[in-house]
Amino acid sequence: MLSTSRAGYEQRIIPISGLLVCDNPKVILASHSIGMGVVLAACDPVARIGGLFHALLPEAQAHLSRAKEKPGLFVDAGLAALEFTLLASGAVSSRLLYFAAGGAQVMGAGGHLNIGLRNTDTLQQQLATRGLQLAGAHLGGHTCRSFYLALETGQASVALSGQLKEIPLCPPLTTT
Amino acid sequence: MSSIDDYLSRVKNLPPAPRILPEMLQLLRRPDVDADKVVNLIKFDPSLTASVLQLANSAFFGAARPAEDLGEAVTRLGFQQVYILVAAVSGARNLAPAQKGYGMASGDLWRHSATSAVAANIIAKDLGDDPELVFTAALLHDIGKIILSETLETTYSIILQESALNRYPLLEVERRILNFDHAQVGGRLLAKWNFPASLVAAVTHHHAPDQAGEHNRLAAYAHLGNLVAYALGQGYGNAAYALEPSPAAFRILGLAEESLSDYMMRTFDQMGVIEALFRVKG
Repeated sequence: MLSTSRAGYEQRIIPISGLLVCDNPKVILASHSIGMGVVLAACDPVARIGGLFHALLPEAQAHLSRAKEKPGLFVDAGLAALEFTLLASGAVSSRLLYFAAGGAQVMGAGGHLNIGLRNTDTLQQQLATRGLQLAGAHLGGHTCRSFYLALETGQASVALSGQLKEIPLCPPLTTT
Repeated sequence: MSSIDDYLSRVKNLPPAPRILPEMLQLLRRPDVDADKVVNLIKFDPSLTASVLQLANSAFFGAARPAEDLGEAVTRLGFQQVYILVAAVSGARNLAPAQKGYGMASGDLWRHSATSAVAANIIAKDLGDDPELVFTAALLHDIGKIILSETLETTYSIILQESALNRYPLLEVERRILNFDHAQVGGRLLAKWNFPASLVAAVTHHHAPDQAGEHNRLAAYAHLGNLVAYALGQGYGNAAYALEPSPAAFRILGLAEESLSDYMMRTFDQMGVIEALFRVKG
């Protein structure tokens, strides 16, 4: 269970719009209240560096001044900033594992009102453009989620609102 | 309607009425607002007075020198701002506790409601409508949930199953199982508390503002405030997003659907204010 506190490990909560990269293997990155927004996380399980951002909107284009201050608000700007910061901190691109959660969808909404779908579509497009694939994801549906990533193991999980049981996004990785 | 009244009469713990809000709204509508009357209304309630002063002097609202009494706060902040603080504190009393039936933790409904209210207030200021009335409608739009929560605590799993199985919005499932929904219950509650007809209609029809008749603009504001709050991650509970946005709400207010993301960002800029409101206990 990544959501419960464990001796020797520290949970760092990244708020909506936040972006954090960390090289402390004893840290578990977490983000809550993931509704229509999306969380994208990545970690290098060998270097034990990972990062995460929690975006609300797909594209920064119409909000450039906000994106400059808080790139994590937007899927496209967040991904670029996360990748840049991870590599600058010593992560190796080819080892990075990507995880995503969120993109809850309201019912019967199309176009501009279905922000959850727009966020996940943009995320998939941006990842594809960079030749990246998700190692694990929990996207869509109608529920709020929390997301957790353990930097020591590269283990990621989500917890759905109102449910104690976590859903693992990938099996724990063995590192040497 | 009789089944709702019947239900309300059987609920043991009806929340205390925020009676001050309709009275204050009435005072604010007058061309010459009497500061003494506003102060007298608030000071009747000592804990409300303390909370309003605490907020008025907080980093988000306060000036360099703290206001020492309500009169000073009213003079410094203005009636409209003081009304927002009073509404927020009064709303917190009802909306802050956990609503287990809906799968809401303590504070969830309050954060959602306050975010909705701030969003609707921003839109109303843009469009030149009464920002205080709009704030109140959006703040109280889900008040019916605090009533239904008692029932839903045991039947919520059935409602969720039905929603997931048939892809029905939760509102519709409430109607199928209970014969009424939280919006109707909220409207009846406000009517019982003698709130103006406009607020009763806005809360009753916040999921379908085109059905609110002459009060459809107010209902549209409540709807859009609600939608912005969800979009900002201030949804809550299990299957929180099993709801249908109403394109009519945008049409009624003459807004393009594209404006949603702009209002999301502008409301997001005010999250500090929402957090300041949240930290004050009613």
